[in-house]
Amino acid sequence: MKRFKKAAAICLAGLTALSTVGVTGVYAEEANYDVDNMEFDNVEIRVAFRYTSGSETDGQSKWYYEKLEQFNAENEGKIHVKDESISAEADYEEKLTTDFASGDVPNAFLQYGGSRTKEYVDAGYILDLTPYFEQYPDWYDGVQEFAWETTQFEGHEGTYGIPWSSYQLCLYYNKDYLDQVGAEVPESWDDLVEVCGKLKEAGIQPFNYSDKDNYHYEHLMSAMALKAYGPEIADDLATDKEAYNGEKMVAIYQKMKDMIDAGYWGDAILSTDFSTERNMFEAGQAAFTVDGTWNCGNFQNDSDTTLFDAQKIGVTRVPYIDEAYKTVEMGGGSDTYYITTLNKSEEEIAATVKFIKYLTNVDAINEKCQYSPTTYAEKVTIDTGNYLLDEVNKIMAENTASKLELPNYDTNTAAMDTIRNSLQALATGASAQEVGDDIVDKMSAYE
Amino acid sequence: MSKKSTVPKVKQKLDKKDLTISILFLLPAILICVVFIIYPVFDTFSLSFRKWNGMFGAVKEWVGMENYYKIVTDKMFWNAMLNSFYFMIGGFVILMPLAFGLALLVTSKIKGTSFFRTCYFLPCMLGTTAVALMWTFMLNPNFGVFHAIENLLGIDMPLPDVLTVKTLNVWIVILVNEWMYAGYNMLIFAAGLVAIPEDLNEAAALDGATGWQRIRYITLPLMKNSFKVFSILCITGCLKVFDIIWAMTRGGPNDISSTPSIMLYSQGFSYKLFGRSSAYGVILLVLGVVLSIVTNRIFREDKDLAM
Amino acid sequence: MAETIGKKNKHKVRTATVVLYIIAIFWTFMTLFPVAVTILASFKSKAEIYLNLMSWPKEFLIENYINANKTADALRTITNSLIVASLTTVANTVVGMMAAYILSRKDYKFLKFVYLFFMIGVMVPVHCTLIPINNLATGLNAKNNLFFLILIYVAFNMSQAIFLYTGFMDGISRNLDEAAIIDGCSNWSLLWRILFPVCKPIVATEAIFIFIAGYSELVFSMIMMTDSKFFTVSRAMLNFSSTHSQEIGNQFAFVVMSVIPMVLIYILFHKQIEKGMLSGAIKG
Repeated sequence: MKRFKKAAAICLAGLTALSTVGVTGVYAEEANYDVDNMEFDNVEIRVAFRYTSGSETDGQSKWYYEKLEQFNAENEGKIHVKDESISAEADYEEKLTTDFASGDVPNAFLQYGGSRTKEYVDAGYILDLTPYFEQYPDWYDGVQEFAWETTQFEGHEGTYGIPWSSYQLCLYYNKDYLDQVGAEVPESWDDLVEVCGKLKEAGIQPFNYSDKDNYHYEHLMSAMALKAYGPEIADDLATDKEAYNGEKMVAIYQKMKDMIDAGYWGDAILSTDFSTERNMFEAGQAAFTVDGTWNCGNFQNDSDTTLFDAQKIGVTRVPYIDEAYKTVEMGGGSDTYYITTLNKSEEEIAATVKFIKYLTNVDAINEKCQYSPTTYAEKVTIDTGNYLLDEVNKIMAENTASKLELPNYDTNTAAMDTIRNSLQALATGASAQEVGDDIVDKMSAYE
Repeated sequence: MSKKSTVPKVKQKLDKKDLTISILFLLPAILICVVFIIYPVFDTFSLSFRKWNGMFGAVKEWVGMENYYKIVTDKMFWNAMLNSFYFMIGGFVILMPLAFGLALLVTSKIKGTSFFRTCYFLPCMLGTTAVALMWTFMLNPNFGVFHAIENLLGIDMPLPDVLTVKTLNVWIVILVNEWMYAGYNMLIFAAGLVAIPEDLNEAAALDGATGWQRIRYITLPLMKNSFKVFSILCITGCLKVFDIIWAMTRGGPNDISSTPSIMLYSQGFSYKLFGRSSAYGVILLVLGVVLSIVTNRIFREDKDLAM
Repeated sequence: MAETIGKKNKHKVRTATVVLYIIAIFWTFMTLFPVAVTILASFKSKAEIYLNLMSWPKEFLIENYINANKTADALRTITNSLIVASLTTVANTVVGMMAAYILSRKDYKFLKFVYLFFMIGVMVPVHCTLIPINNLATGLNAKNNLFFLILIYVAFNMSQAIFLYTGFMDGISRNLDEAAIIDGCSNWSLLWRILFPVCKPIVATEAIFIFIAGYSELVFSMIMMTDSKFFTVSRAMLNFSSTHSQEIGNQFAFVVMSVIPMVLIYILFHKQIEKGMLSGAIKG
């Protein structure tokens, strides 16, 4: 009797092993990836993204909750999706980290790729979507080529997720103010400095370029480095060929510091957040603002839209530092859905893929773009009538290369936070070299 | 007087039955604390000697004292400790007199104490998020209260960005913290004050004692216990202060306003160094226990204060 | 001679009273001014808050409140917070008083260590306990369980409660107990019938603290309660900041909405305490 039990146990173990192998794709031909035609029986899955329930102004969230309800209605009795979204960033990260530590993770979550997500992939807890994309080539083809970078991880074959938004750092300007001082739209960094000088003389504040939410300066630093040294700088930094306190990078910090010292970026840099900065720009309190392409939609949805409605906002590339890299941009895929396999049954995984596919097919994203006009990872085919977005799309079509934020390529998980933190010191009087040394020093503490 | 030492103790029956009842009375509290406090503390302690990236199923590799070594050699740790120390100074120099003064005020015979008490307690009811939000806005050099005052007076001088200047920003947060918790600690002191027998004060007043003298020679000694409570809560609270500074500066810019708790949080939840984060926890815990015991001693030895 | 002293004293008393009022009103202003700014901000548009925080609202936007109610599901989240806070307060008072009674009134040697054991609770940084407690909740399948959340709150408030109660009870003369014990009073009724009424000031004070802590706690309610049915006030507050925008006017409106019930409870509660205090029984 005892022996029989043992044999049964071994058989069972073998079976489970086989079935897991099936999921990971070795016996791809045996497994079923046709999630749309699968039978589900009361599968409950939970997903955690960064949408805001009940928000009136956030178009993407409004769209998502409608979609969620629709999906649940269509799959009544088969699949039920429970949403656990938290919109505030730090709190969302806290939830994800805690869940991953306890092994009780949501079936799908949202991240931006890079070293943070890589740890999950390294641990083998993220689903490789390759076989599903082979099943549904249209799903895969719906996404623009440049946006896939958030799903690729060094040392791993396969596509670990699907991006739905994309972005690029842009310079937005107030057309009236540029006309007032008779300035052209700046193309190079030197142009920009010159225009800022003219504006300042005319009593117009060039920027209120804020860094309270410390991502701003790191974004611009990334863009500037790419536009000074080309896309190779990303790999050079990741492979330690180039250092964050090396001559090249310090030169970038110095350019930023010069702007601060000249007063071009405003005098409340660290106590102004992105939201305030945008509102001040809209109220005519600054001639420029730098942020991602998501501002196209924000300008349209904010409470004060006079400037937008009068078509007085212009958008252009972040000025180049070396003309050879004029069309090299900082941007790419951004918000990306990842599906987890940690302690999940095959049925749950299949149901999750079905739901994510439901959210990311081109038709769905078209709808989403209608709700919230910005740049998406998918090939949006509708015209939203947002003039800034049209402009941005034109610019993006001419890009020769794009890279994500530089710290994303670093293997050090603390890279992003330390670099963002250290750059804040520029606004508190630290020299460019000090900032560079601070970054290297802090990162070495977390090797 | 209602002091244990001066009144002969009631002989309590120290038999088995009494012991069982005592344990039964303590049991619910002990059980809850074991599950939710002591178990996590053990977990933290064990993790503080290991390396773990916070991933379910990943090995928790033994590294000995490495985490502690890394912490004490990190200058940011000492900066954070200093900031916590500022909080303690603020607690004793600003908060304690302020809260005690307010407590005297709301238990005095002036009219409207009920109204005052509610007002003073209001900041505490708003919650940290709201208080932090409001004060960071009010302190903003572009549209805050000082900007408004300048506008009113017709001055046009660039204002300092107070929440970004090293040390100053910590003190600003401390002031906001004291503003918020003055009412809270006022209630602790007030609870002690109302327990002082009225006739003692009346007798002293008849003897010609002035208000100050009554506070010095009657109130203060009888309030020894309240001050002890305040001191211990203040010390432990300041050691692990997190919410208010997180909500106002996130420990920034560039970590200069961090406290040990914020370091603990970022090491764990941002950098996924849970071993080091746990070591921070153990350091804070040990420091807290030591300082509390010292405080207890100080209050016990100083018998004179207790009359 | 006696008369002049009396006059002098009277004069002194009057100036002292005036000084007291000045201080009292000054601090009232200090506390009410920022609160007033918050209330005014809750009627302003986002742009108006950012650009002109201190000004009088151009027009009072009631829609901030309507939107806030929608975003935060105000009625439900406030009710949840009230339930969690009330149950935590009651549980903490009962359990804490029982423990404090033993710690203060019995002379067993081991009680010193029990006291120290409880003290650890005020020193543990919350974030250290987050992952172990989440593991526990996962293991016990206790996520989205209101009682589990309440137990966590009870645990984290326990140390301070026991600390305050024990301190206060130590100051109460044991003469009271003596009489009761001679009358044949059991431990249970001695605690609740004799000591509890005397401890009212501290119990009420601590009850308010616990209530506020339970009402506005964020970390555990966010991690433990994933179902929006169970969201509490501070969890709902997170809904106002999203990736690329912050609904600041609505958020201020929700702050005001969520504080109102607490202020009401505080006022009602405090009336009761003051009545209790006036009726005496406190004097040792």
